[in-house]
This record gives sequence, C-alpha cells and structure tokens, in this order.
Amino acid sequence: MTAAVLERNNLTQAENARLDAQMAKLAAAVAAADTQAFLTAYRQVDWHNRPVQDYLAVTRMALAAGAYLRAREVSAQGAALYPEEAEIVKLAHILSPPKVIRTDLPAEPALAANHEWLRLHRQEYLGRWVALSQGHLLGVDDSFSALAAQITPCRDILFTKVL
Amino acid sequence: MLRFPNGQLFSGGAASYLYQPISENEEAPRILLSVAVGAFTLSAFVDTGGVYFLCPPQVAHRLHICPEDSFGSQRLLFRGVSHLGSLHRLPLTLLAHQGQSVTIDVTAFVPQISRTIEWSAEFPCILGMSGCLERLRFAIDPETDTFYFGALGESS
Repeated sequence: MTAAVLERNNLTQAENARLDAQMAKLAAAVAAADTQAFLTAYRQVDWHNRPVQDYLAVTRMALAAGAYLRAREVSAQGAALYPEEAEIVKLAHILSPPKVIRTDLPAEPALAANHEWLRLHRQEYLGRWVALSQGHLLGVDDSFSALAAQITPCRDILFTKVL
Repeated sequence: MLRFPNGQLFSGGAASYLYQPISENEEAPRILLSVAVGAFTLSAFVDTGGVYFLCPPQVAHRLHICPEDSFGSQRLLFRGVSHLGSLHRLPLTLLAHQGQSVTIDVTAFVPQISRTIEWSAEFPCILGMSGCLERLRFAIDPETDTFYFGALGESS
C-alpha cells in the first residue's frame, strides 16, 4: 500500500465523505454523458491525499465523459505520483501526447497510382475490399479478414474498402 | 515541399489523397490517406474534430498489438455515443508519395462492434486530432488532392 493510501485511510470520516462526494459528482456526469458537467466537477476535485485508485478511476471516467485532455492530465499526474504503480503508468503512457519517432522514411511513389485506380474503379468494386499495388489489383473480397488471409501484407500493398 | 517565408521547412512529405464520402449514407466528402500500421497499409480518413487513431477491430486483430501497450475494456464518449473498446499505443506511419513519410507514436482506440455502433463492422481507420495528428503540421491543396505534412521542429 502506498503512503498516500495510508494517508487517505487516516483521514477523518468527514474528509473521506467529502472526497467520495467529489467522485460521485464525476460519476454522475459520466452517467449523463455530460462532458460540461464532468469538467465542472473535475475542477472542484481536491487531489490532496488521493490514492492511485482515484487517479485511475478519474482517468477512466474522463474518457467515458469525452474529457480526453483531462484524462491525459490526470493519468500523467497519477503516474508522476505513483511511478511504481504499473496500471496508471501504462495508462499515462498510452494517453500521452503523440510523439514523432521517424521522419526519414522514404516516400511511396505508388500511392498516387493506387488512388487513381480507386477513382477509376470505384463503381465496379463499391463496398468490397481490394488489395492494390502500384495501381494494380492484387485481390478482392467481401471483408478485410478474408482478403488479409489471402494476401501477405507489406508496405507496398494497400488494403482498402472501396468507398 | 512547403516552406515558410524564411525558408524553414513546413512539411517534409506530400501524400495523394482521395476526397469522397466514406459510406453510402453520407454526402460529406472526407480526406482519405494511406497509412501503415504494423505490416498493413490501409486507408484512413482525417477527422480534425475526432480523437485518437480509431482502428477497426478486424484490423487490430491482425496487428498483434503488444499487450504491454494496451488497456482493455474502456468506455469512450465519441461524438456523443459511448463505445466500449480498448486503448493502445502504437506506431503509425503517414505515407508520403513525395518527400518523407512520418512515423508517429499515437493513442489508438479499438471499439467493440455492437448493434448500436454507427459504423459497419469494417469502417475505415480514422485519424483524429488529439492523440494522433496534433504534433504534425499539415495543409491541403484541393486542386491537386495533396496532403502536405511534417513534424514540428523539422527545419531543413
């Protein structure tokens, strides 16, 4: 058990009730699918003495309420406070801002040819999945799964539903 | 490639895109790009009002996503509809037909398909803003259907 959990256990009944009431307001906003109400309730949360379970719960509630940036924020705060708690650390990692990891990859000149094929053959294959390479049709099926079972994927092959 | 007036690079890659509705029930055209996820190259549409990289479950199943980078059974409010699914962290490559492709480590959401979901079981992948495109510069040229993109900080 972490130090903060012990601290929360040492709070008075009234203090615990106050913290629980704040969580209940958040949960009510989630149940109502009301992002605005969630954000209002979130701003009133007292984060002092919160156990890691509360950071996890509020992160999950924020996602369920559509408050994505708050989910990122509270999970990051929880991970910083509880770096040894694997679940909050993982969630904070998943929700952290996107990171550009490579910018040196070569271009794929055949992309334009695949798009040209799709423009030309849209009506003919509408609603079906196709595999294309360099503007040539490699395969067609009714589902992605069936097509992927037939054709080994690689960077040069576009799998797409004809829309 | 696009440059700022001072010569600094705005975008290092340019991608041909398709501009069309993504279902028979829609009239509004979308920008459809090609992206690489795992071993697959797939179509994905740009949704600047959306979040994360939304990946159909059939596709996610074949990506063999690392469980250490996954968080299951999470509810997400997406465009006013609550969806149950799983969250992941995965590398996604925006493919350029000119210049350089860019790989981003993004937040991905894989919804469980149910009768209430607005998409069919095999909806296209979606490139949302928050959690996916937010660290890229991008611009479009509707005359040539070209999507220009580059990482923040690219300068030469």
